[in-house]
Amino acid sequence: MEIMIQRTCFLLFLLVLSMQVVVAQKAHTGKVTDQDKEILIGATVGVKGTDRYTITDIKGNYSLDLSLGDTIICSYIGYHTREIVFRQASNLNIILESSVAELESAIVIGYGSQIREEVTGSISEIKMDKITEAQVSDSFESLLQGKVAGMNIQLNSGEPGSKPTIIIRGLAAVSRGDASAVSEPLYVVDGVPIISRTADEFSITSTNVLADLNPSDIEDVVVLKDASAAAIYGSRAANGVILITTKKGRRGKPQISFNARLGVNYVPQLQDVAGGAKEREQVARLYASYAPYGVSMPAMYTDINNPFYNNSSDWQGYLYNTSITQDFNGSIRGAGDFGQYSISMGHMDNKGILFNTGFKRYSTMASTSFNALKNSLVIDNTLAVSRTDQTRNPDGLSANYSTLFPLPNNDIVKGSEVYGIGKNSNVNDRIRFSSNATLNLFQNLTYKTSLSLEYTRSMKDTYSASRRTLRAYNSSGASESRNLLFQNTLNYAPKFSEGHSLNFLLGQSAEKIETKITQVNSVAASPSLSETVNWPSGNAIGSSNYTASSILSYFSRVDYSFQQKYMIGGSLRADGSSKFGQANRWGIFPSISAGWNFGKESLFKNLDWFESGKVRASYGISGTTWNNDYLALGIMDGGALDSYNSLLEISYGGISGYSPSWYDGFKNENLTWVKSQMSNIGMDVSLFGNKLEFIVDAYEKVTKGLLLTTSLPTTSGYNEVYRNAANVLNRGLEFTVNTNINSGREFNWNTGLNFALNRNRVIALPDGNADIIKTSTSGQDFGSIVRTGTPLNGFFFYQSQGIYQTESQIPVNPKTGARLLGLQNKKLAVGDRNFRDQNGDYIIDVKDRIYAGDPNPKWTGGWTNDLRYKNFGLNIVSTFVVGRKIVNTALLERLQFGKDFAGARSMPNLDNYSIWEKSGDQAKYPSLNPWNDASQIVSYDSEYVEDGSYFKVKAATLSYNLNNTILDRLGIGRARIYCTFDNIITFQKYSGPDAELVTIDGFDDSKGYPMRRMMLFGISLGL
Amino acid sequence: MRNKIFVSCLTTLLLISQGCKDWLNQLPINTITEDQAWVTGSDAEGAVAKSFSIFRRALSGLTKSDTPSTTRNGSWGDYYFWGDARSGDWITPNNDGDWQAGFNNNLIARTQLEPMTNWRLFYRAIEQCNLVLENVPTISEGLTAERKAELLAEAHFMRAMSHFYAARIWGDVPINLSARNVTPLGREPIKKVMEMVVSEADIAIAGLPWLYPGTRKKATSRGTRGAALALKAHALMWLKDYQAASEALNQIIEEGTYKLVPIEGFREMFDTGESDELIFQMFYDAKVGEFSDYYGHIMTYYLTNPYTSRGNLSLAVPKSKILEIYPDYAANQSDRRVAEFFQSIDFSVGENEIRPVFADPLANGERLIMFAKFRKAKDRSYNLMDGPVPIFRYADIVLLKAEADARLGKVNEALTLLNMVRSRAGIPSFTKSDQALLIEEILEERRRELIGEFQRVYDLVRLGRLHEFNPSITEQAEKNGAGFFPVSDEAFANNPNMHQTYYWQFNQ
Repeated sequence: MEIMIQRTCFLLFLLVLSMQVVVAQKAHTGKVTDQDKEILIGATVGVKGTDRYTITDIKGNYSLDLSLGDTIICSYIGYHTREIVFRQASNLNIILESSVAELESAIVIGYGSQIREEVTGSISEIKMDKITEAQVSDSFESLLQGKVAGMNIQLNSGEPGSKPTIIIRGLAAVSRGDASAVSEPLYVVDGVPIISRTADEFSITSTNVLADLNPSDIEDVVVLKDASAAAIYGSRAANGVILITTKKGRRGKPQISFNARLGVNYVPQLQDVAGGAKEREQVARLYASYAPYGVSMPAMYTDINNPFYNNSSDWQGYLYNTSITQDFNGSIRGAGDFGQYSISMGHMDNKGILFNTGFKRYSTMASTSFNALKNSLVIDNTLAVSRTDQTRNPDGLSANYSTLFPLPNNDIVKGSEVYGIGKNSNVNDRIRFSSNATLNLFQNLTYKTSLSLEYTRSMKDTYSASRRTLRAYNSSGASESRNLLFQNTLNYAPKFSEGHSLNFLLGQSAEKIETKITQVNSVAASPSLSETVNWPSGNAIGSSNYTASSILSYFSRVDYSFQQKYMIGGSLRADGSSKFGQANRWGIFPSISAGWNFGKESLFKNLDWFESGKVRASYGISGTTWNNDYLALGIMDGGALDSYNSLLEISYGGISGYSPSWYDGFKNENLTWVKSQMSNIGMDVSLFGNKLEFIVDAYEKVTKGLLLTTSLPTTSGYNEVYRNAANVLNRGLEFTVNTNINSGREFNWNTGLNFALNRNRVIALPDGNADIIKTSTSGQDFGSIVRTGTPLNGFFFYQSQGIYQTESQIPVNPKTGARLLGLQNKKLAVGDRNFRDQNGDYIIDVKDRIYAGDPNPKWTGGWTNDLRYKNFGLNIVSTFVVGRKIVNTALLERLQFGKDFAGARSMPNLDNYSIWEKSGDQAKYPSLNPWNDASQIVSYDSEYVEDGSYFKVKAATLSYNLNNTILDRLGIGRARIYCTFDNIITFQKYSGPDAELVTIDGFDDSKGYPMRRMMLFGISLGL
Repeated sequence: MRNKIFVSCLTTLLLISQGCKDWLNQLPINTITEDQAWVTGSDAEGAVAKSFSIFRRALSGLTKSDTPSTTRNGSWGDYYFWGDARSGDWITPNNDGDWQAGFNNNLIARTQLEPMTNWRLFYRAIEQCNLVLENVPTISEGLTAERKAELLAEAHFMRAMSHFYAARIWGDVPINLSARNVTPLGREPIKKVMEMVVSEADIAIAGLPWLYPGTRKKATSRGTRGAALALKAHALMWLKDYQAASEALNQIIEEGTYKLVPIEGFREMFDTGESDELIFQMFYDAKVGEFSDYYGHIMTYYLTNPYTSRGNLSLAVPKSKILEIYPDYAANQSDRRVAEFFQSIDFSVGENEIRPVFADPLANGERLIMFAKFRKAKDRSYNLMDGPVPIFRYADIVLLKAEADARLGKVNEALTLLNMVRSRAGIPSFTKSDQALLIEEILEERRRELIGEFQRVYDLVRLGRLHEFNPSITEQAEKNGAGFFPVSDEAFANNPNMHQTYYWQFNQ
């Protein structure tokens, strides 16, 4: 219970102040401990009916003037308050009983807080203290991995500062084009929704926007999963809401804390590469087997005198190196009658394992509260400033060079650069300021007004030069967002006798978000070594863009509970958005919920093993919108200067005018909110004195009206129009089991296991439910399909049936005698991939592709174990994903050899893969013939679809709390040292490196950055 | 104190609720919305000018910025490929495979030619006119009733013009006469399209002036009564209503706004567009920044050094064909148009020097004569083009009326008109009054006068005679629609009513 000891006290001031001094007294001393004989520092000990009180010191001792018959009242947060009547021989050592339930009794919900027992929605809370003291991460999101049932967090890249994907209760986003449509939750920090991402056309850096929140500043995170909890956030809550509460000062002496940690990042297992002689041998074999007459190998593979011939460069070893992560946080916090203060600072420097990558964060946050008008007016101010820096190479992150090429430190090529010359600087800044005043108007009636301003700026300056063309490319850009939010709420919570309790909330909020981007690029004729853009005349292009949206909302919520046994609640929110036409501007988002604490019924009263039990049910509607702020208004296009500075697109005969912007359709008053209807039933049961806790939820979420384009007939002039056209269904079950086992006084074991099942299905698409084969704007096929009745973004692949071993296996059309024609009209041969001709037309083409797998995980979850023995602690966090398919695109791309493959890039060791070479080979992969008419390593081959399930032991922390005796000598309140192993082991069937590092559509992006392993040493001190 | 706070809170709330009225009206600052687009007279002026600008883009051809289904980075001056390439008169001296496929009427298989089968930009020009006709009538601010009538008449003209131009290329085309028309329209018979063009042109004729104030070039780049009459007459020729066509053409001739300029005036006509002979042209002028880049203007492909940086010829008329088309020049070098339209460049001079032009236009060999009717490049180094693209000019009108009159049996009128054009060119008058020979000679004169002006193929397709001049097209094929361009795949998307031209259903 040492965590409890860290907690300082809340004083029962009203009680104490109203007391009067009665008799003369004498000083007596005593000690306050908990039932485990742990001393309690900072517990309040006072005399009932007087203003005499004191606080226990760091040994748990107190000294108080007492007279006979005084009632000593002792209280400490997280423990039951105890009253003892002072008699002559009384033992003044007070033992307090823990009341975990009381400690966690209040939970933050939208625009307020609620008593945990009365909660009827599906809400999960994570206390960040324990996590941030053991793990280090760029962003708080990745620390939440595996902590909440139904919240699936996937890290898609190992690069420091990259953005994880968070999906709460299943994916509910559709796109025709790029694969990145994610149903993002809403993030709210201390009651203020924050900017969590920037629309693609306005984002300029790729850094995770939320990585600037220092996880150490966060007290707790509450995830609102169902509609009854989230609907109060109305128009943006359809994908769940994440409420973040930052740390505040507590009463007692100032809490000064300092954390320092140092992590060593180790390079994990990298791609297998055929080095030196092996590469030469493989190249020679491929040439010998397949090269057409007269084609011979490049000299470096044949000529022993060639300086490259004997090289065996380990490019990955050269470019990937052990690196260091440092993280420092310091804070001072405190509280008193005046209010509270909290100031914190943090700096993180996370060097990447790949050459020239990394992430830096500088953050500071100050929060103060002032009490005025006899505590009936509270004024809070928060200022948070942060900067993140993800500076990297201008080129890609590839380490895929032929092993025959000498490393840059080789004498032959000394001085040349590893990557292209240049720099790519990515800096994000954020300033948040919010100010609010809470006024207690009358009894039980509180009015709160708050104004907050948020400003983010991302800056990207790149410079890259080519030694070959002697051309330099400069670009410089800044994207800025401003968010202004004004909120007013009125809260009425009358108290009744007979156990009735009512809470009524009425509120209004107005929000405006503006974003502006300015970018300039240039191509200079020669390298100018300048990171800013110089304007050569003629071919420099600059652009800027602006977008703004506003929301006006009115909301209310009523919660009623009877004896905390029967609860019913409802909320209603109306949102008006500038994104819609006048007619469809307002959306109504209602929700209702009910709960029954059946554990309080007399039936269960006498069961010793039964602690509490509750059933919950809720239904509600919440919404989302989209990025394009002006879509419904009909944006006109005035034309733009073309790349030769001609006005041809702008004016005719010197007169310029507007036309519709043909791509976004015309004024579209019918566009409206994407609405998600969610029903949820759940049960919470706690047994054996809270030693065992079960939470079960079942939900159904129908997301209706997802925005999709429909192409219009060319005769209309327009290319496409947006419609609220797609519907997606997510159904799921969530289970959480928490145990808390105390064996004796010194051993304690907590486990938390959560797992969630989600099934995802598309239920409607535009154009008569026509399949959507995802394609980029440049016509590139992504291999994913959105089809009614199936999960989102399935693989749309050719069905492999092995490899043709003999000519006779190649089907022949009985009508024409013609052989089956392969992809790209290839004449099929032995050793080629045998794809199934689905439609029987004896031609393998797009029509033969099938739905070949579902990349959406069925089961996700996490398992946390926390063991404590005396001063030692061991904490193990694991996460898992079961039942999804992923594609080993990385391998596929490495096996794809073109006719100039030799020396183009590194080769995998082909001995490790079963590759067809001659008839009879029972191989998985077809012939690699680089001179084939059409490569047989086909991008959308079902053979590369693999099981993407994994179980990952993410982190294990061993910690030790220093003894009080030592600390006393040093004058330190508490100290903890620990060692964490991060990314320990992954159990997977997947043949690639890491089943987690795939895109949301399930493709292992070969340009991926592997996840480092880390050993972290840390110390945290509290003064 | 508490009351003070309460009162000030209430006041704030009241003030805020007033401010909230406009809170939800967020408008873009870098462009405008549809509601803001139709307010003042200058909005109307701009919108109508935009329809001409879209039509100018449509003629030069669509690119991948117009539709992702095409891969072409820049347009090629597609008006040439639609109106001239397949006439049988052209060759590609540098053996460009795409050009050759176009000459051979292989229009489907080559992806580079695919954008030429897409009519999207014509329907954008049509939609822009539909929007003007829907919205401009409600505008009164800064717009006189007279000017409004003119602008609306111009929109009718441009809408008819776009339909007409598309019908000449694709034959049967959909008719779209209403704004935001997202219904899948099928193709209407070309007869119905041309009838619509005639009736729309009639509306335009009633509201349009003969000329606008300002330079001749600016005036003839916009919809005028002369342009609308020319459009109407051309459509009537397709409808074979020669009487009505002759009457419409007569109105242009009677008015006297236009004239055949002397041959010395050709350079002004084809270089700057400031000419009394032009009736309707696409506006290009580097002086006001409206020039086309490397792509987008057909001049790029037949001009070389000394006019542009190109070293070789990509499109040309072979020497033997020139002599065949201009028999008078072959006989005694009397046809003055040959020296105006063709040049021989001294290719022996290095590519980096300015190559001299020989005095004899046909000094070079069979495949090395440059077609130089249009030769005003803005800038040698970047191949920026600055010449006008004529749509209708007076010589075209004179010869068209000659054809109509000849078909009506009015031989004398026809001969007079034909000889006006012949005498300007310096060739002897035509005197044979046999109707069939006369019609043939008028067609040949149109070929001579309008070569490379995007008219020849339309003349031949209108008369069903493309197969006589293009050996890749048979008579039966032309009957099946081979003279028209195929309809692009994109037109079939979300449109069950669309169908392919009969010939192109079976031929690549």
